[in-house]
Amino acid sequence: MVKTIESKAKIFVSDSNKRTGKSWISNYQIPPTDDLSIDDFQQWGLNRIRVLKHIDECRINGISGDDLNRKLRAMENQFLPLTNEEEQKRDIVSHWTLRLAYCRPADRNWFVTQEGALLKWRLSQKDDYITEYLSDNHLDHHYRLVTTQEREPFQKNLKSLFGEKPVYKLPFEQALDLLRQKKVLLHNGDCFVSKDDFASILVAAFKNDLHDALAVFYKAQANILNQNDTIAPFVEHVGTMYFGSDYGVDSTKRSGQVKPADIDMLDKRSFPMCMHNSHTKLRETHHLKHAARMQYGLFLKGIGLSLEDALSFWRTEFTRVMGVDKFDKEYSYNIRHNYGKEGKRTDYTPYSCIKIINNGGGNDHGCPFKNFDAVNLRVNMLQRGVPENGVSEVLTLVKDHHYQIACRKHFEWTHPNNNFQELSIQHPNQYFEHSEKFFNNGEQAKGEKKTEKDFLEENQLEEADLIALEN
Amino acid sequence: MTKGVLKPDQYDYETFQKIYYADREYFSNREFSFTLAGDVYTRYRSFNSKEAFHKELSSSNPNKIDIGAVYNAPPNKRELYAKSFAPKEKELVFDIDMTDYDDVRTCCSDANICRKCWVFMTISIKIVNRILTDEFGFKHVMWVYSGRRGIHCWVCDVRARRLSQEARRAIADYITVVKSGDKNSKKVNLGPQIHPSQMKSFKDVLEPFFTEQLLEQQMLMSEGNREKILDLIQDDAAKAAILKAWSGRNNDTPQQIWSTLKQTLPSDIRGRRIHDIIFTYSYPRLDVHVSVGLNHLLKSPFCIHPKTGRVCVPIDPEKCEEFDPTSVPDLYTLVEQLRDNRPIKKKDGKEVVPTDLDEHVKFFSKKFVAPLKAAIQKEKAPTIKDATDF
Ligand code: SF4
Ligand SMILES: [Zn+2]
Repeated sequence: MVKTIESKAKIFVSDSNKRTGKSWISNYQIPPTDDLSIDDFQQWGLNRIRVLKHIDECRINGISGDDLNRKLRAMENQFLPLTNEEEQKRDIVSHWTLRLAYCRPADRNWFVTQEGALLKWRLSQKDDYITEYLSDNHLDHHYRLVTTQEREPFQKNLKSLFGEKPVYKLPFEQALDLLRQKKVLLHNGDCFVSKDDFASILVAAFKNDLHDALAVFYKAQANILNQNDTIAPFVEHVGTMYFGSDYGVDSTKRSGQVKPADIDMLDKRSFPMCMHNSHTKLRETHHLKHAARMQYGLFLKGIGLSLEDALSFWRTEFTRVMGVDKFDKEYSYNIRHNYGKEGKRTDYTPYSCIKIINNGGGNDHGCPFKNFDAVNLRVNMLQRGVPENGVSEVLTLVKDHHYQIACRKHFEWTHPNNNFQELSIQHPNQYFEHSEKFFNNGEQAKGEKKTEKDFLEENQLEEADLIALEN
Repeated sequence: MTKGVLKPDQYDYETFQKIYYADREYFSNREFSFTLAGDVYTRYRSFNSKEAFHKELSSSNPNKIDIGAVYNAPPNKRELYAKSFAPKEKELVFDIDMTDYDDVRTCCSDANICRKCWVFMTISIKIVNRILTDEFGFKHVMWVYSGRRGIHCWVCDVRARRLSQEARRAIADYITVVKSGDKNSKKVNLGPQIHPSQMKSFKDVLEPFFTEQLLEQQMLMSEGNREKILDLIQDDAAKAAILKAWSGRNNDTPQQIWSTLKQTLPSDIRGRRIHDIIFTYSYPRLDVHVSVGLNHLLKSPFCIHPKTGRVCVPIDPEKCEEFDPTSVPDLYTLVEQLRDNRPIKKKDGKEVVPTDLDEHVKFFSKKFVAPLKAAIQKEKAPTIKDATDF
């Protein structure tokens, strides 16, 4: 008896999961029930993160319209295709994997924003996707396309508001923003909205539900992870994994862009707290210990200081407390090494925030948001022009160990009226780039058009990512 | 006779109870505030039963009763619930006050009103009532005279009572066209294209009322008032042309002056400017804050206005043109009638003294309470749930 119920229940679940339409777009109401290999689980999750991070980057860089469409299509094709049942399964599984990884309060907003953008983009791909999405996800009880016949009595008014565009009907409570802006036609408690506005409503509803679901999920998360120690490390790691550009690959392109004489000025306006700290210590003591030289040196390489300039920069500073000989003998090797000119000849890449934060640190390196005490942080932020209320906001985040979010807040306060609202700081060089973009009024952004091919290459899964998973 | 409210034992108590719904829990979690003698305002009162309400009403004898939200716990025990104490439901309410029209009203000022300026309220009832019933689909909308210079509207449908604060704001914004800026510059904002709902209000109500009645407000008669209207035209050439067309015709009626203005406006801006003027001068001006706040209170119907002595009687939106605020029953008349009129026997044998209030109470119970009660009963009837699949 029990067995029958179970098997029926299962059939019921997979029936709802199975989409009949051609859009294959899901609203992820029902968690997947299939058995999976841990490899698939991880690989699909990683692929989805790539897509979401890319969406975020596009938004930050103000890419829209055809450009955005082209980029997202390429990205989707490679990492998250959605053209058949098998691919839909991956889509659903990977979404649920990331729910697990991003349900922490600090991560939720970011995830919900990107998933919303992905859904919105997908719905816009074909005219009948909205209708298919509604019926596939059993939403057609709530929302409906208005038929020509139904339009009839309202035709004149509908036309004056929406022209001949398709129109959807829903209870006014679900279209409050449009109601406020008088962008609806109301009749007897329902409102008619245009197709484009309707897509936004669907996305908003999806985001709302997802937000609530994540909050519930968060409470359950501990249990899930306790029961399943194969996925726990992945899930704990994945939300904080760094997938962005490594700011080292095309250092030749950037190399020489920054001269030693510029560094003080750049430090003042665009260095993140960690690099500002190293730089200040260097200027004060004319020396940095090895770990700090690595962290700071690679950062400078990343922003475009050439090897020759790096040597002269460090030499000038260090030789104020030591002889030139000593410097050349003991320190120049290290710098040349960073640039891949010595030893294994690896072209080392600048450290990401995760790496810096996890490496620990001292008074001349590491992430100040993690290492400094409140008094010290406070003094530093005030010096950099953050107002009192900003300082206390940042300190609260620090208290809760949200170092990167604290860093982002710091960015916001030192770049007034910036439009990087949902910028998430993952890398000191990324911080620097955004800051420079801000101060140069986006000129650099325009000059940086990458081809689709460049872009796909940059986003290939790197071995390093997978290694990170294994640890 | 006591000061403010009629003494409860002289009052049709059953009706009073109906005002606050028959539902017990609903009633016991409802906030009331009493304004006591000396303007002492006491909030968060709540009552377990009608008897308790009755008793408190007789003993504290308030000058004014306000009705607030239904909370998730009895408001008089709110300390026990500390932070979780919160409003859950409230009627959707609107407050329209004549003082918001002082920049376009010339017959009276401040707290005074007359039949001429009451036209603004009539227009408001007609327009807002149509939007609430036809567009939003609400069925239980009650209009009440505030006792002095304004009107209140209570929308009591279940759907309305459960609206979020955000939804209330959106509804108020949807209805609003005239943004209350500083006192003397109310700005109308019709957006790039006039919305069909506004168009309907314009054709059915604003335009006829404006030309037939509001022009009596002398808005075209003095130079100062004319200047205000011309300011809305925002086109110097057109303004000059209108002034020229008006000059030397000192015996024109307001209607003639108005049509001269219309005809002189260049045709490409005519429609738009006429809209601007008429909307500015006559479209309902809501006090949005009152509608939005879930924990806002509003004076109970059938209170006596402490300043005027008038009873806050309901207004029939179907006949709002006939409503005359200056002739509603007031406390002094009612006291006299209760003293002098001969009691009559009702069907059930009870003796009551007839007063001028009777027709208002009758309207209230028949046209508002009865349908509302029926709807609530229907809603409470058990619904057949879909049988589960397996
Ligand atoms: S969060 Fe990253 S960029 Fe910011 S200070 Fe820390 S390590 Fe540097
Ligand atoms: Zn008047």
